[in-house]
Amino acid sequence: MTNAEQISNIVVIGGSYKAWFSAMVLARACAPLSKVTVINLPTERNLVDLSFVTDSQFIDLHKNLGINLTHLLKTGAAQTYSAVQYQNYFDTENTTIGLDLELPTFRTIELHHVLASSDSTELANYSYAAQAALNNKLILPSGKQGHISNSFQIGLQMDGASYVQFATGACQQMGAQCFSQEIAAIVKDDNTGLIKQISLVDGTNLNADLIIDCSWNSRFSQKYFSSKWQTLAGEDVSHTKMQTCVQTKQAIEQHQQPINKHLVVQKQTANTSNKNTLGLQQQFSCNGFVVTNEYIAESRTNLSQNAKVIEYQIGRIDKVFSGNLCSLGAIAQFDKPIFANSLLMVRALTYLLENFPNKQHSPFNREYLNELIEKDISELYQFYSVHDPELSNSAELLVAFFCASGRVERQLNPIIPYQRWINHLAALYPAYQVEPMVKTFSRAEIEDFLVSVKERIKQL
Amino acid sequence: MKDTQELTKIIIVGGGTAGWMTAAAFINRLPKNFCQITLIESSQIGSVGVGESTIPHIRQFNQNLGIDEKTFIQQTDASFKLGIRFRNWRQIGDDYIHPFGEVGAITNGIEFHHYWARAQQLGLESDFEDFSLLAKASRQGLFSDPAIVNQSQFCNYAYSYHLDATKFAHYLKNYAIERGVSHIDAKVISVEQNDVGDITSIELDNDTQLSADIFIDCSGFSSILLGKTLNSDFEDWSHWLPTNKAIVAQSELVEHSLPLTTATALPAGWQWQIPIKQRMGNGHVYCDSYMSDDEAANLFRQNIKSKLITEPRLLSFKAGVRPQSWKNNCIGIGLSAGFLEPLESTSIYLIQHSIFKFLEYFPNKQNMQAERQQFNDEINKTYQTIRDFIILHYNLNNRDDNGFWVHQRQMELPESLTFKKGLFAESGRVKPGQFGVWPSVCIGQGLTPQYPDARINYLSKQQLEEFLRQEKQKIAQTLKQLPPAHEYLTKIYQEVSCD
Ligand SMILES: Cc1cc2nc3c(=O)[nH]c(=O)nc-3n(C[C@H](O)[C@H](O)[C@H](O)COP(=O)(O)OP(=O)(O)OC[C@H]3O[C@@H](n4cnc5c(N)ncnc54)[C@H](O)[C@@H]3O)c2cc1C
Repeated sequence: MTNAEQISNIVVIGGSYKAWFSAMVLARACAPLSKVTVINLPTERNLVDLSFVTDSQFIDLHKNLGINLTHLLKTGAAQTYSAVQYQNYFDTENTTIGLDLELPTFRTIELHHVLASSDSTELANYSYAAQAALNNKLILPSGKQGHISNSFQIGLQMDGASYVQFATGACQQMGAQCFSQEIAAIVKDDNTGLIKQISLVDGTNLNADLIIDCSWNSRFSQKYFSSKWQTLAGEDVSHTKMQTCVQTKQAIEQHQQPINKHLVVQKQTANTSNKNTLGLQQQFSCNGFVVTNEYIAESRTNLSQNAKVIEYQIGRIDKVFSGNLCSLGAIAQFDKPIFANSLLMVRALTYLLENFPNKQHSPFNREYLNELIEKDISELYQFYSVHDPELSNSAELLVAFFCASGRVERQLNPIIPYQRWINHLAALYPAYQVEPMVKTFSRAEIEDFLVSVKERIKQL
Repeated sequence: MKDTQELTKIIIVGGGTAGWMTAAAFINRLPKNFCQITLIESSQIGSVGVGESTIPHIRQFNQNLGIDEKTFIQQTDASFKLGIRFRNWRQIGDDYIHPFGEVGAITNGIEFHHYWARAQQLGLESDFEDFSLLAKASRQGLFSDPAIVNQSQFCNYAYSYHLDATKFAHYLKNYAIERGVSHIDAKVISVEQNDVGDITSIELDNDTQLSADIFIDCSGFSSILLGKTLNSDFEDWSHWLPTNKAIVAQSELVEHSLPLTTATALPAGWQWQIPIKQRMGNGHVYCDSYMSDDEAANLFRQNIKSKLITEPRLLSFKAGVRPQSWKNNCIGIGLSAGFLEPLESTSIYLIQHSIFKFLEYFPNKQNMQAERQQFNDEINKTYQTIRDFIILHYNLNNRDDNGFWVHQRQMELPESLTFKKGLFAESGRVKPGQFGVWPSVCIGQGLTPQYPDARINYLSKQQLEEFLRQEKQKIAQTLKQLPPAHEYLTKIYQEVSCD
C-alpha cells in the first residue's frame, strides 16, 4: 500500500462516551499514520454524563491500548461487577446470573445437566462469580488456567462524565483535534461516491477518509449512503415508536456505601401501560436507564432529581459500514440493555481495527466488516428474543434445541459467551431435557459433586 | 427436567474406517453399560481400502480415546506428516507446501502474511514458504516430537500421520471389541421401518433380524440405510469438483521419504504419493470427461518410479453431500454421508467431526428433532467450508494444457468462495473458521493481497527487512534441533518392538 492508499484523516462525530471512546481507541491505534478529529455536536452535550455498563471486552480493549483496569476504575469512577441480578425477568423474582465462562463439570458433563437431576435448582449457587457478587466481594479473574477462580469475566459500571473527561484528555495527548460545532455541509467525491470533506458552521473544512458516526441520532449513514433503519428483526421500521427511558445519576460519584458487586436489571411494568398497544418496550422504562445500580441512594431514585429522560428508537441500521462511514453505538443498533449494550460497539471497533480499510474502501473488506458485525447483531437479537416473547423469535431452533437437549451450539467467537447462553436459557426454560448420560450416575455421586463445588466456592 | 428415555441399542452398519472409528469412540465415550453397541460388516463386500493421509485432528481423536502414540504408529505402519506438497498446480514447474499451522509469527496481532505481502510491495522479494518451519523441515526430511523444540513459537507445532487404512480399521476393531462392542460379519439384506420412517430393524443374510434405537450408516458409498432406505437427498457438487475417478495402487518405497503427502497436478486431475512405513500409497484422481481410463492408468504408472506391490484398482465417486446426514433415527458417517475428494486429506477428519458432534448432541429416544437439525446444520457448514477450500486449489491456476484446468479457472464459484477469495485478494483477510492455511495456498498459487493490513505501513523497508531476517533466523535455529524424520521414526518402531 502506498501513502496515497493510506487512511490519513479519521473524523469521529458525537460527544457521548461512545464517541470519545472510539476517538481515543482510533487515535492510539492509528497514530502516527492517521489523524483523528472529533466533531462534538452541540446536540450531543446532553448525553455526556450518561452512565453506562460495559463488558469484559471493553476492559480488554483498553488493556491492549496500555490502559489497565485500575486506571480505568479511577478514570471512570467505575465499579466492577461479576454477576447480573434480573428482577422480575424470569419466573422467580430475583435471578442472579454470573458472568461465567465455564462452570465446573462432572465427568465431562456440564453443570446444568447435572443440576437438573438433583434437588438443587439455581446455577448461581455453583457460580463463583455469582456467589462472590451476592456476598459483596470484589473479585478479579485469577489468571490460573482452567481454575474455578478464573472461569468468569467482569464488567464495569461507569460514570459517563468521568470517563468522557479521561478520554478527552487522552485524545488530546495523542494530538486529536476537537471541534464543538454543528456540521454545515458534507461533501462527497463524485467519482468514488465517498465522503471527502465535512464543513463546519464556522467555515472550517475537514478532510475525511473515514468517518465514525457515534452520534445519538444524526443518522448520517441514512442521509448520505441510503442505508435504512430497521427493526431488530430486520423488518421495516415504520411501526416502531420512539421510546423513552429515564436515567438517574449514579451515586457512585459520591462514594456512597454499600456498593454491590452485581448489576441489577429490573423489568418494570408501568401500571398505566397497556401491554397490547404500547408494546413491551414501555415496560423497561425505569430509573437508572433500565440498569439500576442498587447503590443509588434512596433519595436520588426519586426521578425528579437528577433524572434525565432519553428518547430512543429500538432498532438497527441495515449496514453498519456504508461507503466510508461507520456507524457505532446507539446509531447502529439499540435495544433495552438487559446486559452491557456497549459490547456491540466495542466489538465493532475491534473488528474495524483488525480489518482497517484502505483509502479506497475496497468493497470486500467493507462487506466483511459488515458480515462480522451483522453476525454479532443477529446473535444479540437472538439473545433478546429468547427473553422477550413479544419479539419475533429469531432463536426458535436455538430454543427448541436447548429445550430438547439442554444444549447450545458452541460458536466461534460468540458475542454472548457459551456459558452465559446456558445460564440464561436454563433460567428461562428450566424444564429442559438433560443429557441422557447423567442417568448413569447415582444421586449420591451427583450430590457429592455439588456439595464439593459449593465448598470450593466458599473457600475461595 | 422431564423424564428421559435413553437409547439402549445402537447398530453400526459398516466396518471400514468410519465404522470402526465410530464404534471405538462410542464405546470409549459412552458410560459403561449405558447402551449396547453392535457393528455389522460384510467381509464379502470389504471396505474402500484407501484414506491414508490425515490431518492433525486425528491426534485429538487418539488422545480422546486414550490411544498411545507409539503403539498407534506401530500398529498402523504410520509415518509423520507435516503438510502437503503441491506440484504443478498453478502452472507446470510450480512447487509449494501447504504446511499444518500458520506461516510466520503473528506480530502485534497481525498475521505474518501481511508483513510478507507489504515487503513484496517494497521490493523485498522472498519465498513465503521460507517462513514456515514445517515447510522447511518437511523439505529437508526433518521431524521430531515438537516438545523437544527449544523455541516457544514452535514447541507445539501441528503434525499428523500417513497410515495403512486397513491396519487402522483393524486396530480400532480390536480396541472396540475388547471394550465391549459386538461384531457380526454378515450382509444387511433388508431394512424395516415404522410408519414415521424410523428404522426399526435390519435383516442379515445369516437369517437374523436385529432391532435398535439408533442406526449409524457407515456402509460407504452404498449408503444402504441413509441413501437407499431413507432416500436422504444427495447434493451434487460435481460441477465444482468434477474429478470422479481414482486409480490406486501401492508401490515399493525406494528411499527415505519426506514427512509430506505429495499432490502433483496432472492434465485432468492430480496424483498423490503417501509414504508409510514400508511402502508408498499412490493414486491418480481425475475427471473422466477430460481423460479416458486407459490414459489415466498409463499416466499413473509412468509417474510411479518404483515397483508396484498391488494391482491398480479403479474407484468411482461423485463430490457432494447429503445435507440431512442425520435422518429419522439414522446417522450417516463417512462416505455414506458425503464425499469430498482427498486433495486435503479431510475425509477421516469429517468422520471424526461427525462422531464427536453426535456424541456431543447424544439424543434421548423420544425426541431427536432439535438435535438432528442442529447436527445437520453444523455438519453441512463443515462440508461446505472444506469444499470451498478444495475448489480454491483448482481455481487458482494458470494452466492451459487441458480444458480441465481452463474450466476450473473460469467456472462460476460458490458464492461463499467468491467472497473468501475476493477478501483475501483484496486485503489478505481470512475469515475465522475457514478451513486450512489459506495464506499458504493462496500465495503458493499466486494470489497475493493487494492491500495488506494498514497497521504495518509505518514500518520502513529496512525495519521490514530486519523483521523478516529475524523470522528466518528463528526457523534456521529451530531446524538445527530437529533430527531426520526417518531416524526419529525408526527409533519409535524399535522402541515398540523392544517393549
Ligand atoms: C480415492 C480416495 C482417496 C482417499 N484418500 C483419503 C485420504 O487420503 N485421507 C482421508 O482422510 N480420506 C481419504 N479418502 C476417504 C476415506 O477413504 C474414507 O473416508 C474412509 O475410508 C471411510 O470409508 P467408509 O468407512 O465410510 O467406507 P468403506 O471403507 O467403504 O466401508 C464400508 C463398510 O460397509 C460395509 N458394508 C457395505 N454394505 C454393506 C451391507 N449391505 N451389509 C453389511 N456391511 C456393508 C463394508 O463391508 C465396509 O465394511 C479417500 C477416498 C477415496 C475414494
